[in-house]
Amino acid sequence: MKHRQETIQVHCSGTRPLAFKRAVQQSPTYAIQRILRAWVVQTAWWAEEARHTYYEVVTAHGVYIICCRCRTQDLWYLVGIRD
Amino acid sequence: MSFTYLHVRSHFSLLAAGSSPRELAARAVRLGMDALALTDTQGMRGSVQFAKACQSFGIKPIYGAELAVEEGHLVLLCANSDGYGELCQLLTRSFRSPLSLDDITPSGNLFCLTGGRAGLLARTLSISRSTAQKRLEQLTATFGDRLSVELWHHLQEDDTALLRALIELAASCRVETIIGGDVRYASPKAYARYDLMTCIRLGCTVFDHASERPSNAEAFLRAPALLRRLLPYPRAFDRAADVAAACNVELLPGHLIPPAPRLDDPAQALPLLRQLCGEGLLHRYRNSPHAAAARQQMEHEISVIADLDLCDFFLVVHEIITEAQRRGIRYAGRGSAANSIIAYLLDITTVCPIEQNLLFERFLHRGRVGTPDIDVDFDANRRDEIIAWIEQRFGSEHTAMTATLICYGLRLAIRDVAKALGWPASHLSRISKAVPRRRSTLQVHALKEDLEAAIGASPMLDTLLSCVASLNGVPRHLGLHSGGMILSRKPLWEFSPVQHSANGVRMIQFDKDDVEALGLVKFDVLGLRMLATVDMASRLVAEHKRGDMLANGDWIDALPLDDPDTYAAIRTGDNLGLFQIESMGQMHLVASHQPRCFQDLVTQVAIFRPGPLQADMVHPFIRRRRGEEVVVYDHPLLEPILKDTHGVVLFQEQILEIAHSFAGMSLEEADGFRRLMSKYRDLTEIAEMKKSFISGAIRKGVPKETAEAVFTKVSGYVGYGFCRSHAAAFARTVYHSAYLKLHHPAAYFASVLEHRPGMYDVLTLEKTAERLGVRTLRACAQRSGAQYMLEHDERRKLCIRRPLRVVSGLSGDAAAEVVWARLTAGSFASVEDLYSRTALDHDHFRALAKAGALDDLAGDRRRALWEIGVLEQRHGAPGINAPAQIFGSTIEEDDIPRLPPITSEERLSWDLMSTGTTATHPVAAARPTLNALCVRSIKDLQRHERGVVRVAGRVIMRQRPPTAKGVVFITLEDETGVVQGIVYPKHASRLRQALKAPAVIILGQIQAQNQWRALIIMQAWTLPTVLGGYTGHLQMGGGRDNFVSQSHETPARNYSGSLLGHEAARV
Repeated sequence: MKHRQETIQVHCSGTRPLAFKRAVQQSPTYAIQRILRAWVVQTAWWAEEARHTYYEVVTAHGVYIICCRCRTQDLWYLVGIRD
Repeated sequence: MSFTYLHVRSHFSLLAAGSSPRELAARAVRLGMDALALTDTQGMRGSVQFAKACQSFGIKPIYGAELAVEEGHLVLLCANSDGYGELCQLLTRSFRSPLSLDDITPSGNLFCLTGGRAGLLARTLSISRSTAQKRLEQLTATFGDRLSVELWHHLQEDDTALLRALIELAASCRVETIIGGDVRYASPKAYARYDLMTCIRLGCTVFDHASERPSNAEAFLRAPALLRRLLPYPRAFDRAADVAAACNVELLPGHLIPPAPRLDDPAQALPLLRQLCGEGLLHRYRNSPHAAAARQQMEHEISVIADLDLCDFFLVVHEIITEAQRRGIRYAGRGSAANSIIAYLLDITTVCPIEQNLLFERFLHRGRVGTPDIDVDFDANRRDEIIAWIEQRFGSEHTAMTATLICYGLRLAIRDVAKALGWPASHLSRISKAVPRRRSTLQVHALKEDLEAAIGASPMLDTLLSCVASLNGVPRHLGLHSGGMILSRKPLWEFSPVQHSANGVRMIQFDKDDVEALGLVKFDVLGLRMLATVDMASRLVAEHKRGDMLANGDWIDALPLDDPDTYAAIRTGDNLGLFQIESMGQMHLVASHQPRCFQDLVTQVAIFRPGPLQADMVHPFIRRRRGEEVVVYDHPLLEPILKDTHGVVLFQEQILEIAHSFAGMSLEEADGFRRLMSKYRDLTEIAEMKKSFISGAIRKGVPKETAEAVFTKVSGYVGYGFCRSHAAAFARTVYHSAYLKLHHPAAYFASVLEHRPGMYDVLTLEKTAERLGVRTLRACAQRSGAQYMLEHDERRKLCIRRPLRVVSGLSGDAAAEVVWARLTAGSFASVEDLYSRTALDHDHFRALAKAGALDDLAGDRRRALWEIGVLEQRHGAPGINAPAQIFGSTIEEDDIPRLPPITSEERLSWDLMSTGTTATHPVAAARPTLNALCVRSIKDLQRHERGVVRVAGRVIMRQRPPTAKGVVFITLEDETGVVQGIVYPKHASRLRQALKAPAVIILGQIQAQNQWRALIIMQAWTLPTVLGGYTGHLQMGGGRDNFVSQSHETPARNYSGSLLGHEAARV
C-alpha cells in the first residue's frame, strides 16, 4: 500500500462518503462504489485530539483509504492507496 | 424479542472497565432493555451492587464473569443458583492456579460464551485456525448446547475480518453464535477514564503504546438498533435473548444465613442460649441490686434474638470467646454489642448495660435488616491464633475474611493519574504531599494552586484535575477488612469466590455491606495493640512482683475502676502513652473536662469525635459540667435522655432515644433515624425525616418551634460518633492503661515500646518514661532479649532494656540469632567471640557496633567497628570458624590503634540513625545555647498562664484536621515535655516553610487550662543541626547520616539577630 497524507474534498450522505476529489488540479471525482470496511481510531483524548474514522473504499480508479478527522469540523484525508 | 448485552464489565473489574454497575444499569434502561448481564474479570465483586442497581431500575440482573483460562478467557453466565456456586468455585480454583479447559467439568448450570477480542477463541484463532477449532470442540464437549461463539464489533481495524472468521468457525463446528457485546463502559464519555485506568493498571503512561489499551471509544452499550446495523446476524441476537431469559438467579435472600454452632439438633440453640445466659446471670448479678432488671432485660433480648433467628450467631460468638478465655488471650467486646445484656452474660462484653443505662435497641431490634455487629478486640499479637482456631473449628470452606473495596481517594488518585500522565517519579511524592489525606477526588479543583506550587505550571495540570475528579468512588483494588470474618453455615463458594489477600489471607470478594446484603454473618475479630500492651504490662508486673515467670496478668481485670490517684493522673492532661486519650486534642479536653470517675472517662472517650465536634456540642458540655453555663432542656421530654450529659447530645443512643421518646418514632424507626443522622446524607431523605420527626413531636404535645429547634440540634450530629456502650468498653481499657502507667511505669512503657499501640515515636515514648523515672537502656548484645525487657540498674531501679531488633539494619532473624547464641552457650567474651558464634553478615555487626550494642564487649563504638574490620580481614565470613573459642582471642592490642573518642554529636547522630532514639534528648544538648537566646523549656511553661514565650523542640506531629477550619496543630517536644502549638490560618502560609523542619524554635502566646499549656504560634524559625546532622524526620523514618560537624552554637549564630531582634518575650 502507498501511504499518503493529502487533504481531499468528500461528498457525503449523512456520515457516509459517496465520492471524493483530490486537491490537485483537474482531479477526477472518485465515486465510491463500495465501502469495504470502516474503523475508528481515537487518539490523545487528553489533548482533545480527534476521532478518526477510516474507510477502505472501492472506486473506478482503485482501492483507497480515506480518513475523516472529526473535531470542530470534519476534515478529510486520503491516507493510502492499495497497490 | 428484546436484546440483552451478555458480556459487560463494570469498574469492579478493577481498572479494567470504565463504568459502575449503576451507570450500566441506568444506560440499559435508557436504551429500553429489560435485562443486563455483569461479567467482570475474575470475580463477582460487583454482583451485589449490580443486583441493587437492577432492582432500583426494574431490570433483570444476569450474573456471570470472565474466567481466565490458559489461552484467554471465557464468559460464563449463571443459569441458576447452582450455576452461581459453580462459577464461584471455578473462580476460586483459578486463583490457586491457572485453569486449562480440562479443569472445567461439564455443567448444565452455566452458559458459556467464547469471549471478545481477548477471549479464548479470538486469541487462538489469531494464531491458528486448527487450534481454535480444537478448543471450540473441547468447549462443545463441556458445555454442549449452552456454548455460543460470541460476536461483537468495536469498529476496530480488523474487527470485520475477525468476525467473519469466527462465524465461519462456529458454522463449521455447528455452534450457535451470540451477540455478547464485550462492553467496557456505559457510554463513550467513559472511554477516557477507561483508557486512563488501563494505563494505571498496566503501569504505562498515556503516551506509551500498549496492545491492551483501547484504540477507540466504541466498547460502550450501544442502542440495539445501531448494534443490529453493525452486526447483521438476527439469529445471534435471538440467541442472546434466549440465554438471557434462561438465566435466573436470586442473589439477595432478604434474610440471614446464620453460622452453625456445635449442636446436634438446631432446635437446641434457644434452650442452650437460655441456659448459658441463666448461668451468666447467676455469676454476674448474684448479689446485685440490678438482678431483677437484668433478668427482665435478658428475657426481652432472648425473645428478640429468637425471633430474628440469631441464637446460633450468639452461641458461635460465645464459643469463640470461650476458646479465647481457655487460651488466655485477652479480649474486649466493643461496639454496640455492649448494649446487650446477652453479650454481657455470655462474657462477650464486660460492661453491665443495666448499670450503664445502655439501650439494647441501638444494637438489635425486630426491625433490623442484616446482621448485628459484634466486634471483639483481641490481643493484637494473638489475633491470628484465634482466626486459625475459627478456621479449624468451622472449616475453611465456611470461613474467610471480608474484603474492603479500596476506592480512589484524592491522594491516591492524584498519584496514579500523575504517573499515567507521565509526570516523572521525582515529582510524584511532591504531588502526593501537596494534597491532604482522606479527601474526595471531587475536591481536587480546589487544590490547583497547591499543586502548581508543588510541581510548577503545566499544560497538563487541568487534565490531571479533571482525570482525578473522574475517578471519584472508583474501586482500585480489593483489600482485606481489618477483622470481619465470615462464618457461614453453607459453604462460602455458594456466595463468593474466595481469593487470597496480598499477605496470603483467604478472603471473599465482597465488602461488609455486600456481605450483609448476601445474608451472611460477619464477626469482627479485631486486633488491638493496646490489649497486647495491657496484657504484657500486667504480666511483667506479676512477674517482677512475684518473681513468677509464668504469672498471668489477670489481676488487672479484677481491679475496681475507682482509683482516685489514677483519675488525678489523667486530670493532669499528661496522658502521652495512654489508650485513646493521648492525642493533644484529647489531652486538652481532659484538662477542661477533669474526669473524676469511670462515667467521666466514658464521656471523655466519646466526646472527641466528629459527631459531637461538628454539632458543636463539646464546649457547651464542658461549660455546663464546670457550672459556667446553666443546663437547659429544650423540652421536659429531653431531660431524662440528656440529663447525664448536661443537656447535650454526645452518644448515638441519645439520638435514638430522642427520636423515640421525643418524636414518637418506634424504636426501629428511631434506629433508622439515628443511622441517617450519623452518615453522610441525602437531602431528600433528610427532608422527609424532618417532616416525620416534627409531626411526631407535635403529636406528643411539643410546640412546632421547639420540635424544629431540637431537630436542628440533632441533625448537626453528622459523621462518626460513639455509642455509649462502645465508649464504655474503651473507657475500661483507658483506665487500665492509666493505672499501669501511674503505678507500674516501667512495665507499662516496656510494653508500650514493644507493641507501639499509639501515635508517638520511640524517642517520645522513651523520654516520657524517663520523666516518670524509668530509664531506657541501649540495645546490648550481652543483655538484650527478643523483646523489651525490664532489668534493675545499679541502684536497683527498674529500667527498660531495648531488644536488639530495634537496631536499624539488623533483621529480626539476625537479632534472634545473637540472643539464641547467648542463651544456649553463655555470654560473649569479646566481639571476636560474638563474631565466631553468630553467622550474621558484616553489615549487621557494623549496625550493632554503631548502635552501641557491642560497647560491653569492646569498650566503645569506634573500637567495636575497628575490631569488626580486623576480624573481617583475618577470618573472613563470621560464624564459620570459632578461633576465639579454640585458641582464645586473636585480636591483640597492636591491632587497635589509638582511636579518637566518639564525640557527642557523633553519638547523637549514630543513635538516631541506628535506633531512632538517643540517651540524651537532642534539644538537651542544645540547651546552653537556647538558654542564651531566652528560649525556655516546655516544662517551664507550667509556671505561667499567659505571656509570649519562645520554646524550641523537635516537631513530633503536624495535624490539620478537616474539622479545624484550616488551623494547623504542631506538637513540639524538648527534653522536658511536649506542648502543642496552634497556627491560625492567617499565619499558616507565612510559617509554612519553617514549620516543615524537623526541629524549630517558636514564639507564641501561652494558652492555659489547668495544667494544660499550648502556644498560639506567632513566629517560627527552623533549628538545624539539633539532631546531630541527622536529616529527615525521625517519626517518618528515612533520615540519613548526613553528619555535619557543626556545634550546637549554630542556632545562635544563625538566629541571634532575628530572635533577639524580635519583640522581647514577655513573661
